[in-house]
Amino acid sequence: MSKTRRDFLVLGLMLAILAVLPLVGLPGWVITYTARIMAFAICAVALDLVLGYGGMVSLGHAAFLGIGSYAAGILIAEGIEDFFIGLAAGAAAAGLYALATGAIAVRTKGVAFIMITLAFGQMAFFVANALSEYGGSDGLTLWSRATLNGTRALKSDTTLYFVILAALVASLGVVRLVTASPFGAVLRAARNNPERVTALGYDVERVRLWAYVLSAVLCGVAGVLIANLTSFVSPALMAWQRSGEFIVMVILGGAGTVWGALAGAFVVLALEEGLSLATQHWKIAFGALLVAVVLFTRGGIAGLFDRSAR
Amino acid sequence: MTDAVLRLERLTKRYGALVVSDEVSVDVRPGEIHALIGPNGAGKTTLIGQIAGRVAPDAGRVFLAGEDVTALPAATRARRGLARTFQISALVSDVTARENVVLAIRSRSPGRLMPVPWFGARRFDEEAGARLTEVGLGDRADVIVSSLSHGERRALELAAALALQPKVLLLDEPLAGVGKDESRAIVKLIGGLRGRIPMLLVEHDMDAVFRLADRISVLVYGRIVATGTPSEVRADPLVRSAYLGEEDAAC
Ligand SMILES: Nc1ncnc2c1ncn2[C@@H]1O[C@H](COP(=O)(O)OP(=O)(O)OP(=O)(O)O)[C@@H](O)[C@H]1O
Ligand SMILES: [Mg+2]
Repeated sequence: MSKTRRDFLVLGLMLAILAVLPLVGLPGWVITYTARIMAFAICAVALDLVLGYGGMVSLGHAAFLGIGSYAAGILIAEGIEDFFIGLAAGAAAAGLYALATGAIAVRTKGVAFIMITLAFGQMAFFVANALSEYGGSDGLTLWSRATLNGTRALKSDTTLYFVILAALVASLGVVRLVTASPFGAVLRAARNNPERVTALGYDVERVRLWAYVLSAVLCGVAGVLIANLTSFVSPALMAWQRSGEFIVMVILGGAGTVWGALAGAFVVLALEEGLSLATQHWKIAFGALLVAVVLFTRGGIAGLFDRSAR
Repeated sequence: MTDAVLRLERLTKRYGALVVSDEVSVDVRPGEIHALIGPNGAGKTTLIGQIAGRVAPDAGRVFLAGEDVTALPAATRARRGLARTFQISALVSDVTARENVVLAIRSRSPGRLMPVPWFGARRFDEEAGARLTEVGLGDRADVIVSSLSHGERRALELAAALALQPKVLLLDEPLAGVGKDESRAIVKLIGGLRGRIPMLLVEHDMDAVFRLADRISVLVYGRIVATGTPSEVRADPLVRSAYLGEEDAAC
């Protein structure tokens, strides 16, 4: 079997498991927690476009998640409850912030890019903290989830679960399409040799900027979903540690691969949950595990899988 | 003179106190191979960089087919017809030779940044294959660039540059580090383009330069000290002392 077919088979299998999970009588918290992981997985998949394919290490992606969730949360708090309006607002707000800040960030590379995306991420974090009308540093509790075509269908955790799964599938599809396109070819080529790509007539900064914006839009969508799932938005969503966690998901899962980011999100969040139940010092254990993966697997989990499948 | 394809007008570039380009005026006429020679550190690569748009000059202007392109970014200049190769091979190394050429071909088309898969682009694969055959890489098209030999990479750079269908080709030491046989093949290739594509050729290999060039300009410490036909330049006493003499002594 070709590698590509095998990869899509693995991805299909993972999504199939997620699709039947709510139907097998698991306790409610498992469903809600899995839905939460799926929302974060959207961010990992989105970051992979920038990091894995574009070679840009963004340490500010949690801000886009947070901006999306605040857009949805504020709309609900103001009585505009329609889910799709919230979705559009969250995506647009995150995309616009990425357009404005990315225009500056893509002019830099390497460590400078990491620092500048971190700075812009922190900026959003501090703004959220200062939003005293909307809870300030305590966050904002939403008294209801959004309405779906005027109904309260999203009140059901299972329904919301499937909405989040659909968004995850759509995000995977979008990233797949884009990376298989001429745009994606230029993005990847520019990761390898920006000078050559420029000399071939491509505006590398512009290509990187649009990848960054698209990635942010997907994170904004994830934010809207998280806001609805938890009925709560807070600055904590935008903490830089979360941006770091997204990077870990992508690298651990396998950057620039078909299903690596998705697997990474599940492994990281499930491990965090599992280890934090087992020991207070879970962060140390988690750190050790991470170092092991980076040292002993090239290309993360997806890379490990490739080598054992061969 | 006004019909020059490429014209540099008093290009000047300083790095601190070092004047790397000192009011350099050079032109490349339709169909000609114009060689630019000069000792190490004379400022040849920096000059190519200013023409291609990678390095901003402090003063002076660059005209492409009569149009002032001095303010245009490198990518735009490339699409307008300024193709280049690099002194140190610069290719996308983790994809095939074909993909490198396809990137060049696609860059001329309106769908070059289409965000969804473009199946119409398949025909570019064939065109790329033809381009690669032209430079003798026909059977190496689907090899990953990092597995190509140094000489093959040089040829591939040429193929990618040609696939842009340039108005002018800027070649920065296309023979640097290439073995004898491969070098002969590349010289033949460049010679075969004479009359079709005007070139500015930077090269240290004097045999190749005198075989290929229609005209030669000599750059020393950022300044053009002579321009003329190969025999004029060979006879120029200033050039002999400043450059060719050293070269002979070194060999
Ligand atoms: N970015 C830079 N900053 C400072 N000095 C530079 C820079 N780029 C080049 N130089 C200096 O400018 C001078 C000309 O360099 P350049 O690379 O153009 O020479 P060259 O003629 O191509 O030499 P070679 O034959 O060795 O390739 C050198 O002294 C070099 O050290
Ligand atoms: Mg040089």
